[in-house]
Amino acid sequence: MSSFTRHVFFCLRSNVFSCLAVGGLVLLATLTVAGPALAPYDAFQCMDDAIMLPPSLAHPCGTDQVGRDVFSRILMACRLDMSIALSAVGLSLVAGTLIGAFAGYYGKLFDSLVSRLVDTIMAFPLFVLAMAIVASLGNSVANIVYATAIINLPFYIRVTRAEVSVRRNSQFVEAALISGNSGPRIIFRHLLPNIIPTIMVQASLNLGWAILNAAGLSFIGLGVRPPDAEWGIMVAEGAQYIVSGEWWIALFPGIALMLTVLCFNFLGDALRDIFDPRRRA
Amino acid sequence: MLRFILRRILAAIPNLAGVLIITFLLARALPGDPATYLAGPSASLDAIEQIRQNLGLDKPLLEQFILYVSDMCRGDWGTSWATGLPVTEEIFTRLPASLELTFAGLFFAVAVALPMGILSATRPGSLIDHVCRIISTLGVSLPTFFTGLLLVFVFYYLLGWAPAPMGRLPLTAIEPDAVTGFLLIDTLLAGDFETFRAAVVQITLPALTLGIFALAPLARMTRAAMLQVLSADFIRTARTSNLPRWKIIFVYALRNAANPLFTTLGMVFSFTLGANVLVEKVFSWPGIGSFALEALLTSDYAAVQGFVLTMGILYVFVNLITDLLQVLNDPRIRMNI
Repeated sequence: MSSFTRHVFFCLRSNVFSCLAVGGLVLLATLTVAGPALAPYDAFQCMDDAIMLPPSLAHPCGTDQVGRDVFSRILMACRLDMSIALSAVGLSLVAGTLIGAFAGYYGKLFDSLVSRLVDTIMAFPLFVLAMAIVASLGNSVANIVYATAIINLPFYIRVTRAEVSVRRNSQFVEAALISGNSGPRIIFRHLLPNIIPTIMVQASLNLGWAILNAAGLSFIGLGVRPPDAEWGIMVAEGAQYIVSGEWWIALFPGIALMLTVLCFNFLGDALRDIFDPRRRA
Repeated sequence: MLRFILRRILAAIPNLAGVLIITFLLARALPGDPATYLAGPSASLDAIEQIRQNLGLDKPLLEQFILYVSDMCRGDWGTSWATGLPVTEEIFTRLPASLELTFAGLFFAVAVALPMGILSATRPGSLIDHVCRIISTLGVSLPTFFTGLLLVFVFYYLLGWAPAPMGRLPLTAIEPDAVTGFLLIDTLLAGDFETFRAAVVQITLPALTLGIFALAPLARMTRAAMLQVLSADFIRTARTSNLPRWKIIFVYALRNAANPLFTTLGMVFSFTLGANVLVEKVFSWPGIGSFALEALLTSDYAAVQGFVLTMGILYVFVNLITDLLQVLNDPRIRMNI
């Protein structure tokens, strides 16, 4: 066992929440891949004889206003929620890291342009900006992904830019320059590998936020349309029944959402523990 | 001091320009041709062309942008198609409701987060510290709209303590004359304590919802800033001088920890402005968030654009105010100006 693996195990053992987060991640991955197959009922099938049934053995999370099994829909929704969040975070991670790295390495005009762009994006409450982007690009799932990616861009740009400009004048970069490496080659081969851990921590914390954001957008009726199963829209559909006591329609998808976000937040903390040099003594 | 304020206001202009550029570009990115949309399905090509000229859509983009900026600066934000009223009027009548909710939520968040952060910072590693950390992690993980629904379920449906989540006042209450637009202030000005109580009861749950969401970053930042300040030399000096503990913490440490807190408060304000939209939907709160939602669903673009612009401008002002607060709080920044 390498020392790094030992270190990872040490960090996991010393924090219960990190272990829970890893367990949650495995569960989420399973559901994302096999969710629809594991669902006991068809998520779209409306059962006329099972409208708004409270949770029971046959329906662990009850049924909704048109007689669909809430549990099956929650399992089904996992894939959509995760793919929205993963693709949004993936997009902004790749784009943001590249823009930030080039801005930090080359500086000058490009750098100040990028800083202006970041400032402009950050000049809005981000959720409002996402709403506006979806409203003007058109109401679709793809545009939710783009909107979430755009509002997350500044975080990656800032982190990468700062990390690259710190290392830009260090000796290993100088050595690489003297050996005749080109700028892009230094960025990709020498600088980026050094800052991947920082970016990974950022991405993990960001995933939870991206899920909340996407669910918030579909809660207000943007992006995902009924009858598609998605946690945010399921909470929205159940919202009106909460005041009359049919709590299970909104509660269980809401809990699924919360646990997922919680899992990513703990995972981010765990990754930080693992990569933080001060704890790696 | 005055020079600093003026300079800071000047520095806000590029931000405002950025806000205008983004709203303009978003308006141009709209799917379809606004002229065709406005003219209706049965319009002739001539009529569409006429509308296009009226809207200035036939001009080059830069000229359109200049026209747009001058319209916005003159306060002409267009007319809401859904209500037929000018967008500025709609927003001005609804903005106080949103701001009242935001301030109430932030007030709750600060009132809870400050003691939480100070308690954990003075006892790092203790049980209180762990409990505070768990609470704040839970707080950021809860979707705002879900917290709101949960609170409604528990306090309205199960316990019956809270009123129905239906706006700012119960139907039976008489609305006071609008002076500030803030019901909590207007009712007091009118001396109507019964309506004041009704308004307080009505705002409690939505404000709690926003507050729980805003609590976590504030508590974390308070803890981090206080921890850093408490390990500083001047605190050790204060301790060895045998100053009372409360004085060290609340007078010396807190004031020094306040500046990063102001920055965080500004950031949290922006989060809450966004989260407002969700909370307003859950509690049928008649603010600009629910206005924007209706506008979104009916493709009322002038209204959506007005909303985004208002939010952008508000946020620029919030940043301005947090900067000024920092200068007021920290004389060292003042000396460097």
